[in-house]
Amino acid sequence: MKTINFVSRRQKNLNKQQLIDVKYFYISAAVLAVVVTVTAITLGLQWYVFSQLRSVESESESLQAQILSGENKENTFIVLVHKLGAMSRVMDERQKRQAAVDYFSSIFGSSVLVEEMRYEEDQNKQLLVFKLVSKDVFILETVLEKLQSVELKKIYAQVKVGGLNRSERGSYSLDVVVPLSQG
Amino acid sequence: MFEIDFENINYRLFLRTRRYLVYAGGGVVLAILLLLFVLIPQFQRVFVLYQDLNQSKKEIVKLRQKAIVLESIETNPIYQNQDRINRILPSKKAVFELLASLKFIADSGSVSLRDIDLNPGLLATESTKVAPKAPADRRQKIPGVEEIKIALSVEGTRGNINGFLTSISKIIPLTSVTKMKLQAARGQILGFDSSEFESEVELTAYYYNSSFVVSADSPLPELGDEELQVLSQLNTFLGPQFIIPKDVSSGGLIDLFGEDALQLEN
Repeated sequence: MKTINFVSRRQKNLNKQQLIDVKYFYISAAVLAVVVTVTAITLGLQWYVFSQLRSVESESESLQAQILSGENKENTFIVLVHKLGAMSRVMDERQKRQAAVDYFSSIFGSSVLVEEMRYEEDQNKQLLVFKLVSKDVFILETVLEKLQSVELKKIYAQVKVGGLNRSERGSYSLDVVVPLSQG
Repeated sequence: MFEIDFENINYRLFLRTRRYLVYAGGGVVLAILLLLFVLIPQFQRVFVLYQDLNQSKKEIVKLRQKAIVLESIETNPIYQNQDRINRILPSKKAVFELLASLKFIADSGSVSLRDIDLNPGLLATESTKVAPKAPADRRQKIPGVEEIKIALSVEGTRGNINGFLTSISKIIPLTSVTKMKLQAARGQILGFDSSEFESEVELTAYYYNSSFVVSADSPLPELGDEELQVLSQLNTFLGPQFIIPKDVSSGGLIDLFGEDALQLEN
């Protein structure tokens, strides 16, 4: 008896379709496998980084405890370093002043008496003020010439001289103001 | 237009004939869900943890360095010279030390000290030592450094007075001359022939008044060339060697008059 397959064409189509579906399935399975693998790797990475972080934090805690146990020494050291810095600034200012005093003493010479010398500070201006006394007005004139010389103006540009006086005893006095900040 | 009639789909037939397509769809949906709800948040967490780890590693390098420095801090020349530094720039108004030093250089320079006037006149209290900030009315020219003004007069020859003034820059505590006025000694006329002079001197002595808050991760200050230079000059400062008594010894134990205590009679 002969049989007639009325759905042979449909069966062929289904088989063809199934092959394509299997292909899709493999692709989907591969994608899923990749995602699962990457997830697993990320989990492992997270665990590794976390354990590293814990170990670093634990070391950090022990180091902090060690540092805090020496807090007094650290405080002392910091204060000492700041004191040295402050001393350096005081000594620098003093040295600048002393250099000016030495320089002007050499300008005044031994014939002039420095009756008064004072250091003034006003609104960031540092002034060194001298009051000179001499028996001879011509000696003061020589000093005045030296104070107005080009060489001196190169170092102390804004030196001011004034207040020439003659006392009852016949001695002459002169005021010299040296701005140190410009010196 | 092509429309799908979902009500009349034969799902069983579809599952039997297209099951691989269903599995593929399920796989893709699962992959997307894993990606959205597990993988991406996981990545973000790992990224944050990695940043924390890097930050902690940087901090721990600093902590290790600081711990090493602190371990050997007692051998540091600054730490070893702390007594000398604290005497040169004390943390309180060291008025008595200053007076002793002035007397010391006056004696060794053959000048007589007269009329010492302290300004401001208030002596230090313990609170001065720990006050975190200077009062608003006292301006600090150098951060952390307070000043004591002192006026005094000295008598001697011109050379000795000059020597005395030069020595002031080397005394303990740190002191500077801010004013000097020369006049003839009593009974003499100021001039070049005078042998004895009297000089009114104004001094500024310095003390340190600042405190610091330290934390474990704050770095230790580094020494600059200026600080090292000062460190090398510490031994050039002059001052008498003395120990300040902290208690009264023998108080009430010795009867200086050698007499028995008076007894009250009824």
